[in-house]
Amino acid sequence: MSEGRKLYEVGELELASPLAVFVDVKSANSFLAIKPTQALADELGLHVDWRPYVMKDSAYAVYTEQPRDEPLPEDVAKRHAMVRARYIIADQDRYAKQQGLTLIRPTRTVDSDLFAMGLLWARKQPPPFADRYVSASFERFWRQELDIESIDDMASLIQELNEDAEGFTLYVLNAGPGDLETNQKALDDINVIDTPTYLVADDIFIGRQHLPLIKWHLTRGSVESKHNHH
Amino acid sequence: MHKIDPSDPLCSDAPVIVYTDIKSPYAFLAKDLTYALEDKYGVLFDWRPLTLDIPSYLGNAKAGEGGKVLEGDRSPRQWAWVKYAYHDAKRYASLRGLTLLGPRQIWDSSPASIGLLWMRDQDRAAFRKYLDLAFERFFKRELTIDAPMEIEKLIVEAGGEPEGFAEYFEGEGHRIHDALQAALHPAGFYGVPSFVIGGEIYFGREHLPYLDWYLSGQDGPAPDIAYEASLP
Repeated sequence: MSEGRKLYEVGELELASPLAVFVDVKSANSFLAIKPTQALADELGLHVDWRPYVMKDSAYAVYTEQPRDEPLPEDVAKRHAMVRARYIIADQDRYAKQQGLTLIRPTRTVDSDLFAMGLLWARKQPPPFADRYVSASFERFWRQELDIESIDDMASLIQELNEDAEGFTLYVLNAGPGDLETNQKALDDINVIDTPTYLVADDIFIGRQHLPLIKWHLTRGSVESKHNHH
Repeated sequence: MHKIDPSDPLCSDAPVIVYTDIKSPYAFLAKDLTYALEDKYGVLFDWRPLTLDIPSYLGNAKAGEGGKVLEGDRSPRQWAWVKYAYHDAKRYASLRGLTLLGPRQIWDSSPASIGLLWMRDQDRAAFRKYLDLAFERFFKRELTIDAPMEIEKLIVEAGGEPEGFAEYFEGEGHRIHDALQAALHPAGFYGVPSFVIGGEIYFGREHLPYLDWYLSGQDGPAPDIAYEASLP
């Protein structure tokens, strides 16, 4: 979706599709939402407007690998957090298996700013490059085959996807950080707090479990198909 | 109703265990959908209380008229999550014609939970009526769920047997409730609604499609998580 194809505005956000999704490559829940979201978009004849939202460390700490045999803390809040983290990991694992996805968690917090800038850059390329970038980045990161903190690795990925790796690198070294900050602030302003978050019908929905309601919103009104965009 | 071994929250002779709490909007939204699966397959689930200790993980708060926060120790992030959770619950409640008003304080729902334990041994229609009345009135701000006398009145209205409830509340009911709550974290439970299906814990009504698939004989691939699609 190239610049100038703005179709929708929500606050400071300019969206290129009625189906906007905010993702972070280091979020397993974002990863698990990719295929179901693409399937819904295909069913409705839409492009997904993928946008990055960088989750802060404290927000996604539960998604890193947790020691499974550590005794539960006495403190109720800490105990609750540990039980919740273990549950979320187990739940993500069972649905990853169901989707046929490999999900190997990082053992430390990772910085996903480069992925996020890459997605902002991908949005400026003709579709469906952003779709391909999202799929390839997530799959490789969760197989531990992609160092998302390495500009060279990210540029190589873009090269493999037959896009302008040099253009990506120049973007990351110039306008990228400022654009990412603007994007992050715009999402903070509309109360995005987790990923995946869907922005549909001027409302936010956290998690892929909302896809039936999102589909209802997208089909009850007049939705422009991807064919109309070309 | 199925017998509870408070020391083993994953064990039941029922096909499914349901953990719920009257003060949870998500448990409220799951209730009727869960009944529908009991009815569809002609089975009785094992309903049990999981009394959330909300201040321990989401901070404390008290609001006045108009929702103005009077006191509390929640962080901005905790508030953001609470606000989103109520916004989310309200939009689904609205689609289903349910009234869901956010409580103005964090309640101790253990009396309502002990009431649930008491009603487990009553007629099934009375048990459902108790849950229906408790959830509906609490989310209309018409029920004081931390008052045992209010719970006893609810038992009567639901068609349950109130004789002996006061003694049960002070004695055996409290003991079973507290022993069960103490066993829940170690067993892996942390929120409601939680379902035990095939010995595994599933948190949230987004797993009801999986439960439906499980009870139907598990033909074909298991469904992904999804909230209800029964929209107007």
